[in-house]
Amino acid sequence: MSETMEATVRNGVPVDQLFGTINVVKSQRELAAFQFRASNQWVNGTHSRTMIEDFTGAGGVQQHGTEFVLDADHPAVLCGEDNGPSPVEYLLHALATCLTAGIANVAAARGIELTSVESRIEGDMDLQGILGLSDEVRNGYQAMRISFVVEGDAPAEQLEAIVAQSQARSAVFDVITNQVPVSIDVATK
Amino acid sequence: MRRTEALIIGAGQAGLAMSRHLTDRGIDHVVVDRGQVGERWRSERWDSLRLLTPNWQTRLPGWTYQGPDPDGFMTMGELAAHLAAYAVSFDAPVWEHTTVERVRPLDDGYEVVTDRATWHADNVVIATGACDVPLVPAAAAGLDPRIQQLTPTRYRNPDQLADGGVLVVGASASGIQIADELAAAGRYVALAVGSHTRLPRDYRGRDIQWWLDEIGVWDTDIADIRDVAAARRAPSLQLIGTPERRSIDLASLHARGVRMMGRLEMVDGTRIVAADSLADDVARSDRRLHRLLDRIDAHVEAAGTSHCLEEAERPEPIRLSTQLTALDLAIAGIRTVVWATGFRREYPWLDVDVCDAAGELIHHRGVTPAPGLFALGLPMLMRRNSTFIDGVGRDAAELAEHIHERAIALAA
Repeated sequence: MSETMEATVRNGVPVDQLFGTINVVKSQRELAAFQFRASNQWVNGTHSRTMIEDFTGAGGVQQHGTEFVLDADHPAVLCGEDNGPSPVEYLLHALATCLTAGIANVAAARGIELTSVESRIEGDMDLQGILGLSDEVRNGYQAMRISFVVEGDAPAEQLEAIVAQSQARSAVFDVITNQVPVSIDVATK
Repeated sequence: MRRTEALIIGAGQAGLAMSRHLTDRGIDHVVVDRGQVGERWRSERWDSLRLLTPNWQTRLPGWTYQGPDPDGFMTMGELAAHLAAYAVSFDAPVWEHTTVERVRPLDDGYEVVTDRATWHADNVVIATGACDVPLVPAAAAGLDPRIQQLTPTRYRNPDQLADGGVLVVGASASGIQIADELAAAGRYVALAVGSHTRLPRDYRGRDIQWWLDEIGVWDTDIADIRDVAAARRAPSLQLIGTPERRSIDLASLHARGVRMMGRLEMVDGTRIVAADSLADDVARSDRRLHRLLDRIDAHVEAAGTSHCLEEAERPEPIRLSTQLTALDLAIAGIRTVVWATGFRREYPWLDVDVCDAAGELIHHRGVTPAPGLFALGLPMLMRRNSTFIDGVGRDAAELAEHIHERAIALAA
């Protein structure tokens, strides 16, 4: 019974600030319009590099504290030089981190202290698709599976319910499981 | 127009106990109910509910539990059957499915208009029950319309609720039982806790209701209660009737994953803010608990029966590792709010000026300012157990005496 009037921070989530943010956005819906962006540059072979510096939202341009530089490559077995995870592995990373962030937020909002959240994520891919060996096989993942091990001060079914709620509000889960229109624009010089 | 000496509105335990006492005195009367005998127990309670009092403690005038399990707790179906059998036992003149539309004063008594017949009654006893209309705080109006709202009268079981978490407001018997059941079903439950009274199911090897009966708590007359108005507002005890005789309190709920917050202070869309009241209310509740157990121990001491009883083992203090100070229903994934915040009464069919500004009947010991108009089964009408199946009979006897005296006066 120690949390009284001080700002509540639970699972490292500043709960009051989180609720406050929602409240502000509720009264000014235009603040909810965000745009995330990244720049990418080909390095060599299958190796390219993404720079993530800023995004827009909450009424303006928001700078990341530092510019993030992310390398991606294909593994040697796929004729790359393994300078970074492959793009599809970034997708695994994106889904796992999105769900895990949601778990921390939902648990914090629900007053449940987490001690550990671990997950293992797998995606099955048949390369006959991207290698053009079969028109029947899709290019991307045929199935993805993520399994969580969650530990916290609540009974098992309550912890399971937190994961379910995180999934229900996950941006990456939504993007993967529901189509999103993608336009590709090309300029030449 | 039919003529009767007394018309009783409501065929629950109060109406039936009244009918039994009038029958015993040879006073002609009828009992009308908009539904069946014990209608609210049948249609306004959740599926798993059992009485909070043991079977032996359902002592109605001339009717006690005779079954094999006096220490058990009746289901709602069993209770409805118990009341129906009671009505049959003395051939109570019950008109079921008879809805009162209007009660208005006549020069000598009342005209009671129902959808089936109209009576001219010398006396009217309003026995429509304490748990009439759910009392929902005004703050409920500020709740996001996407959130499902329920009251205990409409709650049935966890499957009825939208998927996701639930905020239960109120920690009396209804609130904590519903929170407990939802959490056991795997739902996340947040519980807004105000003033409450914690009690163990058993103490020193006996049911707590046995003790409250034994030491005379339930029989306490309102004349001996310092602040009757406050006592009437007090929430019901944190008890549950289960075959395994378990106790229920904030600690048991917390262990199930229920998270507590203080009294609801503000509701704005999906945002809920709680008062910083939980620690104080928990401490007050524990103090009340120990005062009561002290009284029981003193009673045992005075009676010298300590050797026949189990050791005096006190419940552990309530410790909550976390509490919520604010809650966002959207972030927490809560899609239902259950308002377990008590009941009020309303009498829209009553054309007699005997209600206060809140719409409650004005009465002293069930006697309203209107001659021949009585109330029965209201909170602490005459004693602490006036709303209990076990207590309403004595109140009914007192009212039956009034009606009897009026009959003598009218005849003279």
